[in-house]
Amino acid sequence: MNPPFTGITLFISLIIIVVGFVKRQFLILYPIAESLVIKKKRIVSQGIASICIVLFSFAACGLLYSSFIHGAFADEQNNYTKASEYFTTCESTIKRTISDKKIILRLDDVQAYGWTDISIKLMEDAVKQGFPIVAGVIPNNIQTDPKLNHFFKAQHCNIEIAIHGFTHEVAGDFGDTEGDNGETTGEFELIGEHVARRKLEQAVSALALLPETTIATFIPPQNKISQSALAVMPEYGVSYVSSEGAGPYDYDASTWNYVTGEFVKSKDVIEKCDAVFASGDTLCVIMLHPQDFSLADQNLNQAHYREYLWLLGEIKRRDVSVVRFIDLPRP
Amino acid sequence: MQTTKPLTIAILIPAHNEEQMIGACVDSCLAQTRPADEIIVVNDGSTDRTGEILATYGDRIRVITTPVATGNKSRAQEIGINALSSNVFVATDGDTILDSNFVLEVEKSFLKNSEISAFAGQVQSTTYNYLTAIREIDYVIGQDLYKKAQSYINQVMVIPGCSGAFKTSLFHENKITFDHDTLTEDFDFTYKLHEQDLLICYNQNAICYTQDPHTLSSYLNQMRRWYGGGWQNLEKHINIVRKRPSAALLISMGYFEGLGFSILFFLLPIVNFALFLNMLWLYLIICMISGAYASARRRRADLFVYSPLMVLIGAINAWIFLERFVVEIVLRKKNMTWFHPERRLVLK
Repeated sequence: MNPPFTGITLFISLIIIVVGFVKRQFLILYPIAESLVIKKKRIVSQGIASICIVLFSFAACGLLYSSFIHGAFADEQNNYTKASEYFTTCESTIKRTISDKKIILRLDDVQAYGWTDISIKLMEDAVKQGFPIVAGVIPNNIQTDPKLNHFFKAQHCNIEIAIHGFTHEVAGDFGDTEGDNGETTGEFELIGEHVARRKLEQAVSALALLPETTIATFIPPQNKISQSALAVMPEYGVSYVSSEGAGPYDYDASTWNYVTGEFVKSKDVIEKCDAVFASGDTLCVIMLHPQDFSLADQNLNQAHYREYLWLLGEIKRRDVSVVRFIDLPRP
Repeated sequence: MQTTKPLTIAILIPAHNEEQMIGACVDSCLAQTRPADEIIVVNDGSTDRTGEILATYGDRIRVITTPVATGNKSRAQEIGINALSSNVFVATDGDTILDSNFVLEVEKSFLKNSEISAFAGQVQSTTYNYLTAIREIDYVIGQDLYKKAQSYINQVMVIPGCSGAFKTSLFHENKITFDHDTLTEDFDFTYKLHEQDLLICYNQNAICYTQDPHTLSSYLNQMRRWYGGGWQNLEKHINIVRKRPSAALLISMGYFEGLGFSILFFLLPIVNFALFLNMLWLYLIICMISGAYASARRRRADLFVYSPLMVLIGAINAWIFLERFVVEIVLRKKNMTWFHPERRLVLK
């Protein structure tokens, strides 16, 4: 009777059978070969060979099965995470400051398996400071990223999830660079009502898979949206559209300068908000992207991250309220 | 290569309360194409009709009756071996039916190579229900792959208790002794042969048909005995792992992996149930591939039909393997309780 499931042994047995079979066939074809074998003294004693084999077996089995166990623990679907998700209730950390001046932190491009760790870190830091944050989520396949789902489940009361397109793919780009004029077209920039409805239906369905989600805000990819798409937004519960320009919810400051292609220091971001408030406006939307805080290998850019922490600290020191779009009066 | 003495072959059958099958067993021994030179049945204190049935064969067989049961198959075997006069004997069980060419194949193997000290034949399980079907799949895989590979490197891990043959001199000259200190005497003999660098051959043309447990309780008891005996023998003969690289390879791989798999099987659902379900699917596929292979090999559709249940039986095996490891090796509570399985009448 074999021990239970001897998979590696099975593999070794197959090798022995193949080698043994070939050797036997060779000796049948060339029987003289056996008599020509010179009995040499063994290079290592049987005992040493045996110990090496036992150590090898132990290492092979140990590595194989411990890697399974390690994988089971490391996997986001592990029972502990599932159970904690089930029992976790979101505790609001939002500290309300009564002020006429309001800031919205808008983190765009939150997506499945793209800068996930950085996105979560940025949102977590805001929540730790008692600030709510708006996550512009790319809905396509968002439910497949267990880390993000777990985070949204735990923090849904501190975060507003906004639709950020459906796939965020650049329309008209088919991978053919010939004739490319270098300008990109937003996913919702040129579409009509029919396509807008289809994409919004898909987006809302995908976001409905996230826990405790109420959709009220749309952030167009590339900050560009067609009039047709804008017209159908209310059908999908969208009350706030935040793009670029002079609209009431459009962004006022960004951590990235798209003209120069450089990171914008937090001091400059704050100055832009100050200018907004000085002009009499009471709302400053700050646009952030996880990419702004990432190195090329998707690891955290520590220098930019320090700037972000400084930004949060500076906002905290000022007489402003940090809010979400849904906290604003409905237009 | 011819042996110096003419080869004489005996069949030795220890039997305790085997009224259901002893007749069929003896009939198969008498129907050999190469007749056995002697057939000895040790009626081990049977309280049923075993003795009565054996008496009907008259002087065609020799019956040795013990007044009370010895309580262990190996003790009955020892009594029979002491009475043997043939230079080779086939060791089988009272519930086993030998294929008509079994003795002939034993003779061929021993005549082909005089250095052979012991012989392992092929075991097949008689058809009954899902448990015997799953055991048959295990036999097919175990013998077609593992045992064949073991024979290539002269490291046959076990000579089956119902399908083995030995040179009688091994016992008469005390090269192999009965210690009665493990639950699986066939394992014990095989280890002892390897310790003395004696040659064991595996001949898959020598077939016997045996009864395997057909109820879950008897299956559990048998697995406890087999795995318990396996751990007992490993501990008893651990030196062989240091002496023989081939033994080191097969034993360490088998037991390390058996432990690794068993631990994983029960730890995984606790840690990550989603991953466990995925692995269960993979395991099911492996079981069904094994079932398909066994089904084609034995031309029995039931082997494939029942193969998905191997997952359940695999879980039971894994549990018992771990349990016996803890009892025998960790807690060092040696269990020597013999188990006599239920029999049913089967005619192959």
